[in-house]
Amino acid sequence: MSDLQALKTEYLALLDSQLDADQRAWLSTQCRSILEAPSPEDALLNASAAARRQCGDSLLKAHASTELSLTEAARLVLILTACTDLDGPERDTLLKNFYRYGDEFEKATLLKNLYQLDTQGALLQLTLQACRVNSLLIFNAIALNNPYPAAHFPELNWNQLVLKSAFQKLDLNAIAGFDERRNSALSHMCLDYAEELELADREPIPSLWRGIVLNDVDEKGCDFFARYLRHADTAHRRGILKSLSSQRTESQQALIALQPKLSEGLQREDDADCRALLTTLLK
Amino acid sequence: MYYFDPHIHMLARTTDDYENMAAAGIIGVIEPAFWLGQPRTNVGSFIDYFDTLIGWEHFRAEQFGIMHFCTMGLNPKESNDVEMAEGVMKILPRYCQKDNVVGIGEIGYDDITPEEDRFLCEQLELAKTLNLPVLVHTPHRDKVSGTKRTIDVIRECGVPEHQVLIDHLNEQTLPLVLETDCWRGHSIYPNTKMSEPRMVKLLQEYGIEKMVVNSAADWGISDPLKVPKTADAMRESGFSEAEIEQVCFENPIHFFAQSGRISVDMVKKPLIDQSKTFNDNRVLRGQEPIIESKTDA
Repeated sequence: MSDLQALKTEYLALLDSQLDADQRAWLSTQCRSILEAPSPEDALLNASAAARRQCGDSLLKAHASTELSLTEAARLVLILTACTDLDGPERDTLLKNFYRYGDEFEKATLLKNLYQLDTQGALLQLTLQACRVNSLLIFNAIALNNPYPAAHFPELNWNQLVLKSAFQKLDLNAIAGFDERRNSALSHMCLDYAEELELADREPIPSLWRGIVLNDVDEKGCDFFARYLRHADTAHRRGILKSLSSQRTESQQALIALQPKLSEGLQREDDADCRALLTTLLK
Repeated sequence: MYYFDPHIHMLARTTDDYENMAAAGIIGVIEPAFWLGQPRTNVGSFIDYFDTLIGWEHFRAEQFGIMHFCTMGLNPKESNDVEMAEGVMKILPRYCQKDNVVGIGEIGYDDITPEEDRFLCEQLELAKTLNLPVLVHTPHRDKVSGTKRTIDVIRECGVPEHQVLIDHLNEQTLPLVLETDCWRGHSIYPNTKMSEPRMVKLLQEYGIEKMVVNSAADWGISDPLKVPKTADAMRESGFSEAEIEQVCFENPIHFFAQSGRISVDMVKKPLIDQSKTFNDNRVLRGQEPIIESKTDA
């Protein structure tokens, strides 16, 4: 059995216990129509368009990683059905056309599942285009809780995804593979952005600090750390300390330079999480 | 005093905006070609959009007593769809020759990709060939790197710096542009990016030479009255009427006058005649048409 067929079997089993009888019958009929249709792509698009009215937006229970709704899971089953017996290029074309002709919700479904459907990154250009849209539904689908960008995005596009997430005030902690893809260029972009926000009398999101590479931090960066380690909002203090903790092994020299500020922080810190992080960093 | 907004996407704005802009003293605008909020999927979309900029939107503005000019260009976001971008580059030269087109723009970087690089250079070359000024948009993200790269590309392509207006500048990026001969554009938004008080500080610190302000109002949260509001802020801070007029009226027009298709003398409030139609279409919905005569002006 191919990987995609195994995936379809897995999701059908999950849906079987969570869809009602009418919904299961609808899904079964649509899968059969797709398999029998002269144009599986057309049959897929027709079935997918109706899926949300049939299956609704309740969450699929007990799924390991990305949160999917029942509709999204059903659409995934329909896509996998249409992919039956297709070779690589044919499958890529089908997926691209599904994206091209789908509405926002259908596009989001595809993007959320590309890490399973496209393990080789053949649809990279499509995902990069998805990052450029103004729709938060589509952008969130590719940016958050999705292993695909960390696996396939070139550094430039990865950095732009992170920065755009910060612009949209999304939680950067929800970006999969963040720590492994942290890099110097991103670190500078995050600090420049923090400075830009302060010029506009605004503050960065607490998770922005995760993008800072400790070894690259200059005087401006140290100043940010010092100020936000004293911030009244625990979320900022925690954000900085988590970022420092995740880089403890490779940034020992830089941490030594921060020791005085960390010690000061421990003396005045009253949040238990922050105290624990500070204590570890000061060891 | 009259005002001129050299960067505003009127296609996304309502007739209320036109009325309010006219009441605030804005008598001329430049609308740069840009993207729609989601990707266009074929060159035909660009053709229809370009035709609207020189057609219906030009007419609509005049119906409220505002002169409408535009710039033509392939925006940075859509440069990343290479096949479509190549198609747009084939039709762009023709549109750049139209009467109310006073420059190429808004072009520049969005994600700073190699594809954006390519089409920015091609459009800078087109500007050189057609001897048109260029409106360059600095990216809203990674602004500092984007501005540095923009300046590098302008120099690499050899387009005269005085024929380039680099827009959306702030305290971080203006100093970079001040080291060039480029004009300095600032987009004033409500609540984000650049505000009237910050703009006044920049003008106080760096002077008013080649400084331009605009609203960059579009389909997002933005304010089409930001040019007169910036003028008010300048007034409150002690700038003279002549200095305000230079920044908020003359400077942008002088920059785009390098196209040979606009001048300070030419920009006058047009007489409103709402009895006119554009391809049988009108802005009125049953209202009495306003028809101004020269004695009204």
